[in-house]
Amino acid sequence: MADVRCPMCGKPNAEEAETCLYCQARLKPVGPGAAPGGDAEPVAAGGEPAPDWLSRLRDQGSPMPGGTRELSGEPESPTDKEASDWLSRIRTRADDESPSPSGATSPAEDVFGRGKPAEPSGPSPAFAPSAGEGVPASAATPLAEPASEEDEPEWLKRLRARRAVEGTPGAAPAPSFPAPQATGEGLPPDWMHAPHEDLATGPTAAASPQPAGSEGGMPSWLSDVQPPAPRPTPVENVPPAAPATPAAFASEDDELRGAYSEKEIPDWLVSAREEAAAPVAGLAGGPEAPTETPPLEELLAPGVLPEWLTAGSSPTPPPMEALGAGLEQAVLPPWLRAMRPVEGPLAPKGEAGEAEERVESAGPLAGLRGVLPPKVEAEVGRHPPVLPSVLDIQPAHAAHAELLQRIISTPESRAVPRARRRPQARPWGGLVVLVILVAAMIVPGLTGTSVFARPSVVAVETLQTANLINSLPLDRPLLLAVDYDAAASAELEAAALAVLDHVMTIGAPIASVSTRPVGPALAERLMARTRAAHPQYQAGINYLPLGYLPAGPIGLRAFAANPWQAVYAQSAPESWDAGLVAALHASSNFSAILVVASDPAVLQTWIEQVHTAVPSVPLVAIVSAAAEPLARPYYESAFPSVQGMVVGLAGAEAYECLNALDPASGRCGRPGVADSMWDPFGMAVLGAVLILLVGGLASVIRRGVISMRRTSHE
Amino acid sequence: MRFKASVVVAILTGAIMLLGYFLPGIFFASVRDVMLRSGMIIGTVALLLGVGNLLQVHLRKIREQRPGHLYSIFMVISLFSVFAVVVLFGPAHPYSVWVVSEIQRPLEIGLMGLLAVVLLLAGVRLLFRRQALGTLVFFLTAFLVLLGTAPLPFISLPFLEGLRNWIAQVPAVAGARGIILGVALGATATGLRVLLGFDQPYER
Repeated sequence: MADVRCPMCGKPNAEEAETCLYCQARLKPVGPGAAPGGDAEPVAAGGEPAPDWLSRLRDQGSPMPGGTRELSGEPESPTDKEASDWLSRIRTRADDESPSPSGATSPAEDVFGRGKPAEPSGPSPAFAPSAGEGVPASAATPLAEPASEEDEPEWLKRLRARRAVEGTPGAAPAPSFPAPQATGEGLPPDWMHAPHEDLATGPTAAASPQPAGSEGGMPSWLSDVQPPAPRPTPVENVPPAAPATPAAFASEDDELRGAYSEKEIPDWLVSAREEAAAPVAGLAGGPEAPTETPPLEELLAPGVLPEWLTAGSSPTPPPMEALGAGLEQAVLPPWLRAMRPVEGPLAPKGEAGEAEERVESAGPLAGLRGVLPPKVEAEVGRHPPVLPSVLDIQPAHAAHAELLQRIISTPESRAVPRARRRPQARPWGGLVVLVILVAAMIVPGLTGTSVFARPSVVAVETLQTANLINSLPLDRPLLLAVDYDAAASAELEAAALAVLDHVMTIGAPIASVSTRPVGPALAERLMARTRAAHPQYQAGINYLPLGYLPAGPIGLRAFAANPWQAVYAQSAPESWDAGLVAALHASSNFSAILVVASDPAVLQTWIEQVHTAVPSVPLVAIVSAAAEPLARPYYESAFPSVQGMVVGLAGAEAYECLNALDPASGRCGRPGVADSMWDPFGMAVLGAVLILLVGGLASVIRRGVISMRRTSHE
Repeated sequence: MRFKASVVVAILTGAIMLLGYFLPGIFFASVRDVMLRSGMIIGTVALLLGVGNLLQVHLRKIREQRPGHLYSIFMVISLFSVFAVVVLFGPAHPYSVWVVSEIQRPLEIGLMGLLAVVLLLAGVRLLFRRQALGTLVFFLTAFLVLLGTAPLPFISLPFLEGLRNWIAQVPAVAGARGIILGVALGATATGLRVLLGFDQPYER
């Protein structure tokens, strides 16, 4: 029983075995040339047995993984018989030179790497099928088996080691390949092109005549002594990513040719060259050899691939859902989910299995799919992609960001406040109010009627003021402080005149002073208006006009310390009463202080600066109705600073009534200034009340109308 | 701390004046009187400086023919006229009194009457533009106070007068007392700061 050696591992197997017992490789080829009977010896296309040289070669036991036959996947043609001798010598020599115990030096490497010129077309040599041409399964499968460097065959390891020594990892296509069409000096002979071209083009190219210049089968470059061939480009200029190609081996051949002259060529090489020309041309196959390789999809179709190749790997891995069916899905916390990037920084770009589906495009493995492990992909390294972080933005955060963007983008709109619409001027409204008020004040004066009742109740502070005036000593002057503006003179003059009338009635001397520039003139006006009823009051006799007191509170404090020095500081006029002037050297000599003020702050200053200095001197305040709330606390306190008050026109009217009260009838007697102003005052206030009432009703009606319109629109 | 003569003078002056309020004695009283008279003189001179500055501003306005320079002309004429009358005849002379009584007083009273009209109109407009609780309270208070102040024709309503007096003497006085107390506390704090040298308003 004849043994059949496994083309993969080289170990003997039974003749009828279809797969290797050791490596499970298929022993019988699959395809059009496969023998149905499962013959161990592959036969040629014509059904003839293999030639002797091929049989011998097989018997040598070289596994030849990736060898020429395995790569092509075709039985040898009968023309191989002629090339058997030289090829066997080359193999013998290669085995001798190779230290590999397995003797795995590829015949293709020996023949096409050292013995043929480089192809100019780079990464895809013509002898190897490209990715688009497809690869026979029987040849591609063993090369796809290794998953790591330890599993790689020895010849592939040596090939990598040679690349590493040459400094061209991942070698690029040599840029200094000699041009194939050139026949000049230093170029490889045409006979060395022939085997390679035959592999690619078939017998047509092999039948081409000898190139010009050859002598009886001896290449012209061997017959003449030629200068050394130009060395290839230094390694540094080689692009690093190009795969190793037979062209690199051709460059080594050029080096050898340049290093040895014709005379130094050994005889075995000369004879090999003579014998190699014609037989090698038919190495790739005879006329029966297929010129086209079936497409890859057809070769990889189900049923074509052997079972051992398809059994180990599942074309469609089970879905992840099926794998994790019994597991409960973990739930990340929201904060961790927000921080998680969308894609891992080192995640592979392509889909799973891309590395396995990769087709080598250069080198001796060109056209093979998935022969290199995926670690090549990892060795390249990949920068982590810049991935956008998808954050879980809350609506509130988004609103804040939008607000900030608006603030930054439109600073002008915030810097310049929107101009408020100026209210439209309505002069008719003011005019109507003015006309009503003026008419109300004029009508009582024109008609001469008195329809408004006088105050029926006299205020307590008014009664206390009247009682205080009644009790004034007649030997000391009463200090009259005229500290009101001319604008308030209409209201305050009536009250001041009523009190002064009372004072002049009892005959108390008066001294006037003012902290306002217009005060002396107003004081003189008051005295002038009372002089008609009390002509005995003359300046210097029973009335001393002290004039203006400057510096506000400082002046008042100085006046409280020494009134005469604060005002004059010089000798008094000769016409003045010496007794009254002598009384002005101390503020405590005043019988009372009568302050007529329109501003409560002025009254406060008088209380703080003067009354505190002479607390024994009573202080009476004649203030306007507007100043009453701020003046009353000094009157109503537990230790009052103000002993009497007359407030506004109503107080003046009540004080006049007290001055002219007829005890018999109980009615007010002589009318005064306040009484003459009472009816116009009453009419004006009633007019103001009516205006407010009408305005309030109008606003309520307007609002009702607006709400009704709004309701009807809705 | 850098020595400042102005700070020392201010603190010493304030301390003497303050002690003069609490400590009886001739020394503090005499020093206080001297300082007060000096203050009055300085105040009077300051008033004259103010009048001079006002005159300078309006003269420049007239000289440069700025808008409204006609009013400045009237102001300068009035200033010199009143100044001459008061200086020549005295502040209590009938001429001086006539200027105040027949020119200044009617002008100021007219402005006060115009203020009354404007306030009344503003109250009415407030009702139309903003109808809120505060507006209603303001309107009712003004209405009741006016109605209680004004004498009614042919009748007398003591209830309205009592209501007006209650409004003017209870709620208004309560607010006024708060204001007065606040002003007093603020004045005390300000005086202490000036006396201790923390505030130096005279350095401005």
